[in-house]
Amino acid sequence: MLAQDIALELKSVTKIYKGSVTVGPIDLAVRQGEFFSLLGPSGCGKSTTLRCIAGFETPTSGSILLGGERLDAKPAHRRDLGLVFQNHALFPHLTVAGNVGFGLALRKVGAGEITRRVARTLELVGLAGCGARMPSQLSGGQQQRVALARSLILEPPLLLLDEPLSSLDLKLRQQMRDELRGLQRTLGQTTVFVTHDQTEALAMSDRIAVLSNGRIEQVGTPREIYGAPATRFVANFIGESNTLAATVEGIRDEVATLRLPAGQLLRARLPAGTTRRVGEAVWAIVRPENLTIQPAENSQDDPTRLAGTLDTVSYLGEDIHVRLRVPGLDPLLASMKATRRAEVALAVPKIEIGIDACAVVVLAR
Amino acid sequence: MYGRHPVLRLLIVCVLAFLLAPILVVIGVSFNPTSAFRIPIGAVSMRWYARFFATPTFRDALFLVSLPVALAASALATVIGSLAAIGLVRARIAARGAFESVFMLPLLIPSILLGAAMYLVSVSLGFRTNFLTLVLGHMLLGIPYVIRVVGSALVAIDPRLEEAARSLGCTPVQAFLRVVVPNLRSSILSGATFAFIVSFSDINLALFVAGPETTTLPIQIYSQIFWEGDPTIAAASTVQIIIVGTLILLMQKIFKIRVGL
Repeated sequence: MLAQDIALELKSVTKIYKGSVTVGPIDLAVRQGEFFSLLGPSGCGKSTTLRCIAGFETPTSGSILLGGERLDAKPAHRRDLGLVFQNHALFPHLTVAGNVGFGLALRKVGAGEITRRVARTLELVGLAGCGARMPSQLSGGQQQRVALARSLILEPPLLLLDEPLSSLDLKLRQQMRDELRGLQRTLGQTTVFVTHDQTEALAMSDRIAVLSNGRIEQVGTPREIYGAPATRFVANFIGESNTLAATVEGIRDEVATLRLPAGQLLRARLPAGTTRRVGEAVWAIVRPENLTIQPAENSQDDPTRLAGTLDTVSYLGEDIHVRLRVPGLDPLLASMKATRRAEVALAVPKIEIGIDACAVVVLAR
Repeated sequence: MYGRHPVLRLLIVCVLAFLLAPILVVIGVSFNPTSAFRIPIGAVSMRWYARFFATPTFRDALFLVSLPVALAASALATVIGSLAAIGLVRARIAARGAFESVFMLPLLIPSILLGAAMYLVSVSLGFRTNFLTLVLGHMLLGIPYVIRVVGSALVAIDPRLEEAARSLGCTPVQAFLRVVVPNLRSSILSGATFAFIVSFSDINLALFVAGPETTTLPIQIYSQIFWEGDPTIAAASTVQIIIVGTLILLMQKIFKIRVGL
């Protein structure tokens, strides 16, 4: 990453509260124009990190830079950042136009100019002509757009979004997700987005930082985070996964053979540059969609196919989720498209499970 | 739903009757053409209202004492009470609970005792009880109401509003003045109304801290009951009820516009 590409940088930021809650050290670099998500369960430190950037919390140590300049020395009102909250936080005593023009009025911009820019920004968020209404007369989605417009009108170098979609219902949330992402791309708006919703983070982000217990577990693109989780936490927090305890039995041509507790074998392709020792205890992580199920054929004698039985089968319309029992293992989860072939495979109780070596992620245990 | 049950309906009617009956009797008596204390049947008369406005002691008690005292006391109580509420809710003070209790004391102590105490203090300090002592006493009675109303409104204001304002460029003080205060306006007005009514209808405190030239309307009514006891006092009470009622209706009208319902 080139230095001039970096918009926001957090260097060893920590926040220590009286008591046991501690965040950091957090190191992050957000690129110019990037949509960057902080993802984690509640209490992981994502909101604290955002509040440190916004200036509502003072980091105990570390520094925050925006465009190469120290941000953490400035009070919140001189950071010129855009901020949108989950509950919108619109000013209830002002009209929509009053809310959107608030920042400009504060900066003593002329009335004519304010009117023009408010109209333009409302149009941008799809609320043209709504300026005279009061916030209480708007729907949740519209209020969210006003909150967005109120921040965007000041053309902030950085937009902070604190779970902005969580208060909306599912349909609207999906729609707003696309709209917000579209708007962010059009404007090239550098954005830090805080969420606990992994689907949201995967769908919207250029890159994601996954946080747990005040620390960053992994930073990467949605594809990297999902396909190559760096830790067990990431594997389990983002999507579903099967985590199997295993021992490295042998390595050949960057393919490791793993032995499961009940003796079955599993092959895993190791990414270039990874070092695993024979005899090492590892976790083998497999996504449910990477398990393939076939009716058991007694003639076949492939040691890397796991023999098992069907436990429960749930039809979810488009997909089928299956719980499988394999001797010596915790129940495995598999998911597949609800095709005719899948239904045939699931019609017999005794099955074989195949696992693609490329889809197995090996982590140190 | 609950109100549909006949027993509950009866109960509601009884409670309302209990609350309204004395007021209706007073209003009825004030229109009585004779000097008897009874609700007129047939003919009504405005003679007691004429008498009320023609009698200097009544007229002065209303226009020169009760109204100006209530206005001054409620104005002071509103300013002090609102500031106290802001301090109690927002300031990082150690003995918050203790402060709050002190401000609430006038609600807890019987106001007749408070009046007696204020009288004794005034006398021992060499003050004569006058308009000022009356205003200060009533201010004291009004402050807890203002604190309660403004304080609970302040607690209910989302702190994120101020954070949003600060992210848009407001200093903490600007954020408070531009975002919090406008949203407290109706609560401050409602606190002021309470304070006005408390002062306007008080008699216990006024008995002690009002001087000879500052007889409030309730005191005037009270003393007239012993002396003459004609329906002028009913007319006086009705005038008082009308003033308070109008004030409350006016405020509700304003609040409705403000709240946007």
